[in-house]
Amino acid sequence: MTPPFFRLSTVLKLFLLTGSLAATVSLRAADAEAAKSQIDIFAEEGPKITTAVGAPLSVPVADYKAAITFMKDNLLDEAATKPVATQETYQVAAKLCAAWLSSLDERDKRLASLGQKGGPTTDMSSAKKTVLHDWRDELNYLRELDDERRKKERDQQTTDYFSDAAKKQWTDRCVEVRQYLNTLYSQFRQLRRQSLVHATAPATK
Amino acid sequence: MDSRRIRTAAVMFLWIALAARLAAADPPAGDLERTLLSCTWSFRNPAVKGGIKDLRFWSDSAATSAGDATTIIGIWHVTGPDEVTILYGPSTAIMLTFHADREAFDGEDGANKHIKGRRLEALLPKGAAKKMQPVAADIDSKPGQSQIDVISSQAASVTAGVIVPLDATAQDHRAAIITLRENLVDEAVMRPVAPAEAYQTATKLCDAWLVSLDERDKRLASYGQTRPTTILGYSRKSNLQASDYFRYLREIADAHRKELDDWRQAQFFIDAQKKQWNDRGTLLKQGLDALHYQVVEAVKARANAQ
Repeated sequence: MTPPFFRLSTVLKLFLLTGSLAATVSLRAADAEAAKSQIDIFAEEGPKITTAVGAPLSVPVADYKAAITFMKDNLLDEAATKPVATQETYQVAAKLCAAWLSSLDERDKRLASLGQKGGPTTDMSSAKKTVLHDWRDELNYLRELDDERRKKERDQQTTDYFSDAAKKQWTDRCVEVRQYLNTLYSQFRQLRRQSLVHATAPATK
Repeated sequence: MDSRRIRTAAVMFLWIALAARLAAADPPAGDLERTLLSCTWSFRNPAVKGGIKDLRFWSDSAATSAGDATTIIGIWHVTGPDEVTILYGPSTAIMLTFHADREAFDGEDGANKHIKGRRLEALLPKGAAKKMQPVAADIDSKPGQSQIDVISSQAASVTAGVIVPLDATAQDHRAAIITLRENLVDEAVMRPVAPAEAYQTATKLCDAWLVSLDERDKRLASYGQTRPTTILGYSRKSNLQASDYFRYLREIADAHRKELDDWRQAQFFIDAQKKQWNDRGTLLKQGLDALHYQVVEAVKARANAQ
């Protein structure tokens, strides 16, 4: 049994590393550690993590990576020391953890390139075509300012367009990723169910 | 000799003045420009009875009344860190000086220095759609309640949270639905309280909710996506003289008409996307309600048999 002070320090470290939301999962995991098995905690938190992983790029998501790694290691510990389900159940759970981590990596990569735009270009065409002499050319100058503003707006529209496209690509990708994650979760629940049925069967006989 | 010196000094002065104006108008202009374009403004000029009551600044340099986007009342430019000039005739202009918090302005039109205005309603950028991301939500249940009872009693509210217009906030019950689906299968295998058919239909209903949420997410992601517009680039094509005010006004009017057209076109597609989802949502809702009805009927039939 892990000493309570160790659990608290791990949770505190996680809180500092990953932010409050991710730490809440760990905190719950630590609080419930004594009462619940890691498999039960995993079954409870799994769909919430899948939902967070598949969040749109415009929605900020707390960094679950440390919490997932922590959960995966706890599962492997439990599988080795005091298993409450079959080894296959633990393997599928660990596989789901790895899939979450890889999906989060993919999300991070896409997020890093979101809103990226080419270097700003200065429109010097006006200066090359017309010569400004004095205040009689004020309208020419104002017209150049208009063109410059419209160019800036067009550049912003282009950036927004590509950002929207990147967000849409992630949403489409998420549908596939989520299906895979949900399939793994269903597999995990099915194996857990079988373990529970096996566990209760002799008692009922 | 003296006259040449005076002329050289005058030319230099003009260049310095123009350079100073360029420098003054450029760097802080971005912030003021964004503020101007982001909302409508009230406009109070006590010298003109029955004049305009509000203003809207457009990115094509047109200044219009907020209520009537088609009639240009002047051409605006940022002419200082806090200063905007609205030309409304060949040699007439209103000068607006914005307060540091950008919430209000004081204006002057020649000798009339009593013009005032303040920030009114915020505007969405041109062609932008009001996108509301779904918020995470749980499915209510009572302690000890069977999973089939939970789905029977809460299905209507989950469906209502999923089939929501694209510009409203949907309830993202995804995590709760996945848990409920697996709990239903657990209950069906280990301690069933309804016929197997009820559990099968309930699982199907959960899958249908998840598919509907995915479809809505996809539509929301492409909702309001607009292509970049083209610019007319007049300054590259011809020269304007000081007396060409009306020619310049016509160029601004052309650009403004184009901007309004682009805006309306974007709005048309936004409305079409909203309508398509509403139509699709009606169909999906029918399917979801039918599945819910089947679950309720199966549970009732079992209860009646007992």
